[in-house]
Amino acid sequence: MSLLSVRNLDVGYPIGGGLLRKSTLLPIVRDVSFDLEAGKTLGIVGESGCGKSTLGRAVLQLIPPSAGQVLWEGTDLASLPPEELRKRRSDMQIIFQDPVAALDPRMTLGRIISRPLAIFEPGLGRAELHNRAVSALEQVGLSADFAARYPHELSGGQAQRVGIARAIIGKPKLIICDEPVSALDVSIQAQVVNLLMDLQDQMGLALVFISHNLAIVRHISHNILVMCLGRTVELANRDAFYARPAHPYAQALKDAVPEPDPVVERARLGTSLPGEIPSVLHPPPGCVFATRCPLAQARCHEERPALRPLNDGRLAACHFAEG
Amino acid sequence: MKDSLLDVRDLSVHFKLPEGEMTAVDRVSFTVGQGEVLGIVGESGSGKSQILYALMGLLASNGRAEGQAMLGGDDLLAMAPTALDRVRGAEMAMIFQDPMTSLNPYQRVGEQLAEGLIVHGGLGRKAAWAEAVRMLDRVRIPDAANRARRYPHEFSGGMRQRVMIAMALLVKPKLLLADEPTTALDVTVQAQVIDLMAELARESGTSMVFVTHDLGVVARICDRVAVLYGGRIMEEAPAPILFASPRHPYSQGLLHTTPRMAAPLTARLETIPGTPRSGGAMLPGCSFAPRCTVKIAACEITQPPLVTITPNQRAACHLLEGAA
Repeated sequence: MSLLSVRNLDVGYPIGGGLLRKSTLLPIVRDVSFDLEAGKTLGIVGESGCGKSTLGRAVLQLIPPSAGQVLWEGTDLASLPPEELRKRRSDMQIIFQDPVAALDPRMTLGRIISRPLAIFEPGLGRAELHNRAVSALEQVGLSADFAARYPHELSGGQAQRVGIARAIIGKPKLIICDEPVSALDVSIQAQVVNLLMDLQDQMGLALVFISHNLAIVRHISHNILVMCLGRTVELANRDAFYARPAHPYAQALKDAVPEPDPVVERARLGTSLPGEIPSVLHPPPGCVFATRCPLAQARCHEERPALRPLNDGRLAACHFAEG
Repeated sequence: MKDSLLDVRDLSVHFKLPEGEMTAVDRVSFTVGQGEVLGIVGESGSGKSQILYALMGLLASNGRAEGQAMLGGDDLLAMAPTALDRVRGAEMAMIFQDPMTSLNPYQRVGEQLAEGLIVHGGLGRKAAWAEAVRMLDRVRIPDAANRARRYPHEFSGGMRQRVMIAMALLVKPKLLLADEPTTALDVTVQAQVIDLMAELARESGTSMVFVTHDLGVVARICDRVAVLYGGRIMEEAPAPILFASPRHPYSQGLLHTTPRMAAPLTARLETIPGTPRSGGAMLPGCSFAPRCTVKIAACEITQPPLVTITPNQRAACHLLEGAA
């Protein structure tokens, strides 16, 4: 049994509702499934609007899915009574893209970090909360005196470390990392990615690492899920994926990440993918990538390709992909 | 080397703050050749954007620029505001990181484009509109004639940045200043925008200063690179040389810490210890000394001069002074 199994998950946002008019559900995530084992990382990549952050939040039931299941150690989270769900929440945490905005500016860092403990273990005294906050700070590479400071005193990288300290203090089994390094300086991104990998090794954490940066995702992930307009277009293990993405969209996404190498990049200049990202309001009727795909045939515009296993075991949703 | 179009000498930028004066840029010198794309790369707090703001006369009201910046025969830093107005838009233009806040939300996109042509190009309203539509088509806005009548919120992020590029290049400036123009965009859209900028610059012979934190973007578009840290230039070289043999410990660190997909996987990413400089006084020694793993005693006492290492490569590091 996997730690986390997501089955045919649909998530939508209500739009167009009014006083007397019923709203309709705009689908953001459609029919997404994956498994995640303890100690492993699933990288979720895609362009803005592809539904990757919504998927992360729906896994935690922060946004209610409209269909499908999120199985946590085999139990469907949606079937749990609210009090039961709340108890499980200490096992699953989240860190955010904007690390400073994720911290209450009026609380000391010690109090911010120990909040989850104060909620999940209400019996703990102040001294114990403080001690646990200090050891969480040390685990993320910050000194004990940070406990008395406030969020505005932090750099972006330090703030993300505090966010991670808050996430790990209750010894969770899963952390959803929603673009955790996108807002950080290059030299700090590597520090934070390494920290997450260290914590994964020490605590056996499972990570969902949501990002648009395929170069960083490669370092931290065991498996890669590529999303486009709410749908899975490829799900593969890391090495197979980076050797050669099977889906043309995944290939385009990989080619678009600039390498710090002028020889490679000069050759790529002028090869960018033409066209616009389609609107989620009007997704193409066939393949979600058909309007931009360099390999698209007539069939791709009419018939949506099913997500199917290729010869090498990975999944891809392309009529013409070969594994 | 090509004739230089822009010649910046000892540019400093200071800000008056309640706690005293803060120096964001400290005696930075560089040139930009005709048709050349110069990349200025640095992390937050390096002063990279403030250099562009100083050149455009757009520093915040508590900011002050010193030094010299010659564009043609004019010193941009010494010009009267009205004279600078004639240069801005006509001879040099700027594009910003956030295309949404750079466009007027209440004005049709075509009108915003035409305005520059009417003010700087002396065109009539009708001719300016036609030219604006032509330029929108040129930056691959689909259905440009109709799109020109739309408002900025009806455009996607990538299209807005293409509108900004159209606006900047409409009056055929000699120099384009770009402040992280692709940072807010998706990687696929970023690639489109960079392709477009490179193509237009090549066709029109426009020189560019491209400010970014992303070495991958630098590798794609820049001819020459200046690496900035803590308000000072650490190293400067043609892009192929800087990427193949960086000499300053900071350039080396930045290059090694940027993950690349072509390289073999390692257990952990290489890092630069510490945190980028944020505010505070300029250090007496090297700006990078607090984070440098190979520093010697002199690094914290005296500032290393920018010395020529090879004919095309300059670096400011005490460890390299003997090598010059």
